[in-house]
Amino acid sequence: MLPIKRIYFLAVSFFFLFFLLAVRFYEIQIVEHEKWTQQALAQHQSVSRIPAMRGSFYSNSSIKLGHPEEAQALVIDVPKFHLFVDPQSIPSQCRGKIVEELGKLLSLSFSQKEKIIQALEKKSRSRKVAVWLSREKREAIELWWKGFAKAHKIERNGLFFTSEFKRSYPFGSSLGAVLHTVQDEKNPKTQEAIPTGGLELVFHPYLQGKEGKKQVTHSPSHSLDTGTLLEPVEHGADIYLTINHYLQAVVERELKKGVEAVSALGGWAVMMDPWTGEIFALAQVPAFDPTHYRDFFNDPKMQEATRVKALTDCYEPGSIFKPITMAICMMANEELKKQGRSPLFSPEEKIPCANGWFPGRSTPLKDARVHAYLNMDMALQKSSNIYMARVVQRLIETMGEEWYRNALAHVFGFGQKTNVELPGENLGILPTPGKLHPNGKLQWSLPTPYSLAIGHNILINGMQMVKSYAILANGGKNVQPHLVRKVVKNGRVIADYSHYRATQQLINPEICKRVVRSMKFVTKEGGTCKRADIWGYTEVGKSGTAEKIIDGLYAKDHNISSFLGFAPVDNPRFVLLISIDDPERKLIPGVGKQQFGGISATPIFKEIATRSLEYLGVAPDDPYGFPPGDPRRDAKKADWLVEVQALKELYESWNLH
Amino acid sequence: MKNVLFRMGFCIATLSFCLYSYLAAQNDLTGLKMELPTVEKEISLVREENRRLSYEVEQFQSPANLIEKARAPEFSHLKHPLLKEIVTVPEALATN
Repeated sequence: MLPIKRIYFLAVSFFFLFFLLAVRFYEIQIVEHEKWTQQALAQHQSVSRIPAMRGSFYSNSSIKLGHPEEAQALVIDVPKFHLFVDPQSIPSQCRGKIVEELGKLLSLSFSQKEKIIQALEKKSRSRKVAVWLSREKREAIELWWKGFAKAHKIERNGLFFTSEFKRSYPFGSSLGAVLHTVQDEKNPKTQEAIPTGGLELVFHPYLQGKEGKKQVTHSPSHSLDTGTLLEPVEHGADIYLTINHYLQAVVERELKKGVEAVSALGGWAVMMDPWTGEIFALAQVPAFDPTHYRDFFNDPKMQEATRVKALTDCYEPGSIFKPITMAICMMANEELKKQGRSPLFSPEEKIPCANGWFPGRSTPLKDARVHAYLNMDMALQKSSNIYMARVVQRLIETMGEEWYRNALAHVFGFGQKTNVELPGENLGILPTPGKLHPNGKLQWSLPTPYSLAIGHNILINGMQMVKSYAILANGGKNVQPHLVRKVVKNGRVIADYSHYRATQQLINPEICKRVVRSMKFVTKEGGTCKRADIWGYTEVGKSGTAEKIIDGLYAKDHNISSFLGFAPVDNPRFVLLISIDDPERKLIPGVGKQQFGGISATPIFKEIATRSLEYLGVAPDDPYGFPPGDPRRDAKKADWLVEVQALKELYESWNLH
Repeated sequence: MKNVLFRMGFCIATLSFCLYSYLAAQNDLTGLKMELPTVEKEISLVREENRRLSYEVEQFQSPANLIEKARAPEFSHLKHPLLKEIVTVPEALATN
């Protein structure tokens, strides 16, 4: 019995122990299933981030017809590395050597080394000690660290890197103020990039993308496979601009040369297609370099360069406004004709211009020289203030102030935003009858129309002016200036403006044609802008010189000098505005006063237009229009020389007897 | 009896071979899984290098740089062609 009892006892004991084991298995597998699963997963799996790449900006290469080109990136995200230290894993006796070696590898200054020493003394597992390192630098540090960590028995990850894409600009500061950039530091809460302005700011929601996540399985010493995708990465959308990189470079280069030549404070230029509103180039001097954005934002003197001055800065246009005045007066003629009334004037009419007195003015208007009589061709050619004011006087007497203001606002868009896709557009000031300025003075008083006629008493931005000339250039159609052709995300076009064309007819094409005809005299012999004559091509334009407004007052010795024109005349490829900020006041013997737009801005227009037309492959439409002495010149065949001679004779018959 | 033993031996051998093949395949698979991160890293390095090089190429080909070079006497014969001088061959014709 005894052995049987023992056997029973052993059997029961084993059964009991087995039962305990089963209970424990039940506890582990069923009751604590979640806990142990998570612990196992934590040991074998981790979630890693897949950084999203910010979208790029691309140049418009399609304008060079017949020359297929790949899209040219204006900004590229290049991977760079940040160096971190884990102070807690680095023994204090090794810190000096580490700082010394990092100093050599990264060419650090004394103060930068001091900062690393301070970082190593922090009670932290992660301190950033160097940013935006190249791969070469990273590899050099890793090579040194591998041996150093082994020799001093320091944890391998005492030094580690994180990677991040950095906005890089292959063309340097080109288009800097338009593109802008993103700050080096991300938003600490959302980890999103922080744009500094420009297109980066406006299109931030499209550009930023969304980072992805993946689960990576790994053994203690190896990673296994590339991981399971938890959330797919969404790269930012690419923005295809209307800006052409080559034309932008031409405009920037010539503008800089021109500004330096007249010792001006700066300048800006806009080139736009009058048919599509596509802005081909938008340049300014001094330029904003996005790679050194901190320097610009930290220095009040340099901050100005961060703004797109053709949009944010308002100024009186001066005489470049005169063709607009003429177009409006001719529109009034048309309106009067519809009503069965006599027109205001005829472009060929002989209008007396010796008397510069106008109602409400305390001083008479003056022209550069006294003209007894002028017609519209002569008035634009000589840039007569009195002629413009005289015709506008008839306009006000016939159509009224409201009609005049409405034409300026609703036909040409003055006093209204152009809605170009950039922040901070200043809509300027178009005076309104009955309204007051902040200083309490009436915006519109009795002499205001005569000032408006010659581009005074109105504040415009450069883009508004370009738009108004584009309307004249395209035969009177409304046009929307814009910078973006299309937005592409993951190969799918999500917005496409590349087919936009100006269609809404605002002005009778015949009126535009007649005003443009008069403008053709401006750049020829006898005109104020001979220096804008493009050899081999036809062009029209008008210069203007206005006093700068400093601290709310006219500054008599400081000017904004401009030239605005387009070429070729019959089928314009672009409208081009050049504005020079405060050219040095001096007399150039045999040429004229340098501060005038006809002297300082015209050579820049000519150079840019010549190079741009060549680049665009536009065949010369005035093959005999070259300067005297040039073998290609033929005075009989050259465009407009016969008409210029006829106008000269008519002018002399009216004014020299 | 001999036949049964032979059959059993054959079955065990077949089973062993299948099991071995399965384990070998699993090992190969694990080996490949271990290689994947390395290959992925290499690909990302190549991509990274590609981006860096395209950045450098575009820096060199920047219009400002090309305009500067075009002023050199050795390139003075180059000019932008006029639109009317360009003949565009339709892709269908060019590939035939």
